[in-house]
Amino acid sequence: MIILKAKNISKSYQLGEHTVHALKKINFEVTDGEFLGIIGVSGSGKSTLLNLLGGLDKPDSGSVEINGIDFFDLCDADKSVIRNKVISYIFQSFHLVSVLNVYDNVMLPLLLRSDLSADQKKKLCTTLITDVGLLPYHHHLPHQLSGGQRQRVAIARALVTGAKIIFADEPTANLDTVTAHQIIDLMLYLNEKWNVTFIFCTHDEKLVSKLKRKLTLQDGECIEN
Amino acid sequence: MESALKTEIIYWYLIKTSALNVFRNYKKSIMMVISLSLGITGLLLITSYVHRINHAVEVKTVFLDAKGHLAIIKKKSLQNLGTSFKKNLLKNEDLTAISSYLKTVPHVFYSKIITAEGFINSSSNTVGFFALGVEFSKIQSIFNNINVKLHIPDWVDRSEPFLKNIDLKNNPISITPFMKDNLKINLGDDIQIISQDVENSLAVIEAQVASTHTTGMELKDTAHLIGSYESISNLLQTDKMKYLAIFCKTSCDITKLQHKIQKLIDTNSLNLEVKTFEDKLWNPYYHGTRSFLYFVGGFFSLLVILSSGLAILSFNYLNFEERKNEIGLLRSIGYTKKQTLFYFVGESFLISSFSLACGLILGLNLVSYINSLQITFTPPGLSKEIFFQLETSGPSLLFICMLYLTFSVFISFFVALKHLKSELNALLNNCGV
Repeated sequence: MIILKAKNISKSYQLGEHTVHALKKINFEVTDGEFLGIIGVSGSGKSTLLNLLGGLDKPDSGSVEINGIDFFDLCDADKSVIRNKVISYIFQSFHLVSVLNVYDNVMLPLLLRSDLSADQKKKLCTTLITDVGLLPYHHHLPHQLSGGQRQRVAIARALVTGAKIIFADEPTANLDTVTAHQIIDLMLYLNEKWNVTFIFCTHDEKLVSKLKRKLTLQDGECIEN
Repeated sequence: MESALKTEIIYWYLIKTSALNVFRNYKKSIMMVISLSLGITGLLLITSYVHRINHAVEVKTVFLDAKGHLAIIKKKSLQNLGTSFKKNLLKNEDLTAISSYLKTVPHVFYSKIITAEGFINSSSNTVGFFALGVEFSKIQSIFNNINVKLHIPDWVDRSEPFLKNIDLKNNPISITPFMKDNLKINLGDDIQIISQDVENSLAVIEAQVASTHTTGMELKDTAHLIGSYESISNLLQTDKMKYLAIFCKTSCDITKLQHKIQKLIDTNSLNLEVKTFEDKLWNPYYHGTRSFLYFVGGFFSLLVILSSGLAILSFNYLNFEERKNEIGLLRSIGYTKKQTLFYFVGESFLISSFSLACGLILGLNLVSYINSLQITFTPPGLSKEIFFQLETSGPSLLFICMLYLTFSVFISFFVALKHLKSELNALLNNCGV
């Protein structure tokens, strides 16, 4: 089942007098449960593409369909619904709320959900925190955790809403080799367990070797799918 | 597709996160709370001083100078009362209709007022005088009004029993201690009061010095005399009055009362008009003092508000700059712009409320402390030292609270709104934890 469709996405930036064409008419589809990596050298446009797919930025032209709905045609409130229920993000720099502990950080997106009871929310949080191996640390604040543990919190937060697609921008970039491996394995495990689609950009060879599908970019164009 | 998420207002989260955010950078928060609290304290002190002087000057003008909350005078006579005195005096008949109406208003009383000027002659000396003739049957109600007791200016001496147990047949008068010393007389002595009557003929009456009083004003104290309305009328050889002073027994809506009486006057086609004690022409002293006070108070309040506003602005701006990624994060996990705005503005509101509470506690304690110090000073024009005293009032406190919270919320609202206009990508590119 096609869960995401990118149609003729183009994006350019103005750098002084020069126009940089970051992406040139990118087309592809993603099906349910994929583990897709967008790879390419630095400056190839992979982060730009991920931002556009995840609705963090607007394309100059083209469209992104999530579950058959054109994301950029939606109003702010509807985009927020999609962001809360259908898609999630894992950031390179984790973006945890520094004053909240692990449990509260994971709970953060669920606070908006009126379709779940308080008990269901608590149960979901505990399950996800257990899955990422942080149950003993659930009262710790972000600054009391290692980089790998912080990324696990971010992964738990991304999955707790029951999102169908997770976008991850260089999720292992700030981690050491051992931790990066653990995070990759965790994402693969969760991909299989929860049947969640992972779309991420990376130039990490370790991660590339474990990809189920690759999308290679060069100078803003897709050269391999 | 749902049009929007049904928002659970996450009070516990809002309060918890806000409180935690306050402690996140506790040094900055403490500085913010201190600067806001000091601003609130400053505003409280300024308004308390303005409030105190305003009350004192109002009491002096309305009651002690016997101007009244309202004055009924002959129409368009105000500018000519000094030059064409006789022509502009008020006839008793003019007031009959008004008096019958005033008797139906339960919370007011009134007194005929007449003024005169001339010389007082004792056996050893002569001094000039400006006399205020008031109905002595009303004088205790005027000078002992509840507002006088609450807000009597400490530069006006009414500590002695004023014109009590007097014999009206002796034409009792009250003069200032300065005049008494110059005339070299004692209380109870008889003196001569000399003046021109309304026909410009020389008139003399015998009077008894029954009491002394001060006006509080250095120059006025050299020649101020309070006499019975009948005595001064006898001196001027007239049965007319200068104006009818109307006093409210308790607080009342002066402007509303003025309009009511003026309407009655117009309906009965009487040649009269009603002035309030706040009238610029009728009470230039009160009006000028209050304008000056408001100007100075307003100027310093503005400085305090501006400096506090800058503190709030810089705090909010830095706060949002530092937490751009948090804004981006909230947006990326499904918070709408409105919810994110509510989250940050709510946080600012909590910090401001805490600062407000600290400022009020500090300010109120400071007011008590300053009052207990009994600081005295002599402003120009006054005949004695006055206490630097402060008076707080409920409406002023409420005004300060509303002003501060509104100000704080508006600033954080606009700063947050500015940041929310950025693309999510730009917000999230900030380094996060």
